[in-house]
Amino acid sequence: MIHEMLQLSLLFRIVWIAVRLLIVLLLIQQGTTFVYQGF
Amino acid sequence: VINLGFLSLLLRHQFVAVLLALAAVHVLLRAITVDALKSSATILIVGGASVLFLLHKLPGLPLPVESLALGSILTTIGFAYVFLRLLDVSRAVWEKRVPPPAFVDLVNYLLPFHMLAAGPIQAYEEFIAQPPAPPALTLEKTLSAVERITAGLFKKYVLAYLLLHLLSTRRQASGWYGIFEMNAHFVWLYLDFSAYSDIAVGIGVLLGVATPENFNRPYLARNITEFWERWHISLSMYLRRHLFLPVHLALLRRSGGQHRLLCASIALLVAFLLCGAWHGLTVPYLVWGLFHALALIICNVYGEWLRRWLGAKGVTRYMASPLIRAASTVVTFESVAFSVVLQGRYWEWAMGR
Repeated sequence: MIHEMLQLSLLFRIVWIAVRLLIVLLLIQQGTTFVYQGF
Repeated sequence: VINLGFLSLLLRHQFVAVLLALAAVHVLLRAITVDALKSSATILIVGGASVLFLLHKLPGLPLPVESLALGSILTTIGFAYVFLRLLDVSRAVWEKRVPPPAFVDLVNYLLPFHMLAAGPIQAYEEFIAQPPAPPALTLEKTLSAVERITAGLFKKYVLAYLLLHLLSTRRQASGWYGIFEMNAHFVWLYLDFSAYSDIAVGIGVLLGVATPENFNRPYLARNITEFWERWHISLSMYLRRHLFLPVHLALLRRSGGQHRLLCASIALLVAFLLCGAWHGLTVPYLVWGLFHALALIICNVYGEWLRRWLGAKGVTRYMASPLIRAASTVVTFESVAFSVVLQGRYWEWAMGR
């Protein structure tokens, strides 16, 4: 039971990482560019 | 190797100039340990670094500088941060707290690729105290580090980006929306800036390189002193080590231990005016530094006054009151949000990029 829950939470974490990275990539494609602050 | 490779990709042929500068710094740091050369080597390092810092920060200087592409090199390597690290390691060698660094250590300390853009600023002693072999990576550690990097990217490219583009009027708004925008600007600054630290800390874990935390939920600070213990922590600690404490101690010695509050206030003024100057050699940044120094002084005086007025038990009760905590947290947030406006055109600049 605990083992299954751990695996599910691991899966959830990986999916959540992927979703966020996908949104980042989509927005970068839309024109968010990396501009270095230059301190 | 990673740091040098990254720099060579970033700077191309200009990389040679950086390499030569690093070699010169390496030799000078060794010279600091020789009694006969100590003073001249220190003057050369500190003086040279300060001149470069001025060239980097002062707008519109007359320029053999541009023709040498010096400006672009200094910006690319984030010289403001390199400058502080260089002073840190020089002081540590000068005071014989550490031996002069090996060339590899010097490169890794001054120009860590994941900390170039926006810090954090690690103390050299902390850097050199790391175990030579990093601890082994577990699945959990790896996943947490990737989560941290993802969170940083998400903060910077999604949350900060949306906040900026949905809410900013480039400070054209007045009235209530003007105040709202001031707060939004401060939230944006946190999202954008702490994102760099998240990415740096995550990469540090993956590479086995200790990378100090730079933020600790700064919006929860209940006073300005606590704020600086939670925001850009590595810079606050740096200022404390190299400016506040030496000035404070020197003044206390002169005054024979009298006037502690006054000594602390002068030390804060010196530290934060220079902190403002480090951010930018412009009037708005100096005003920003002055504002924070005054806020910290007021905070200290108020704390002292509370202790006298309420006594030790009264202060404990005062601090425990949820209403006081909520009110002081809001006042702190609003004061810092206002101070960010003093910095000048950063928000507008960010809009334009």
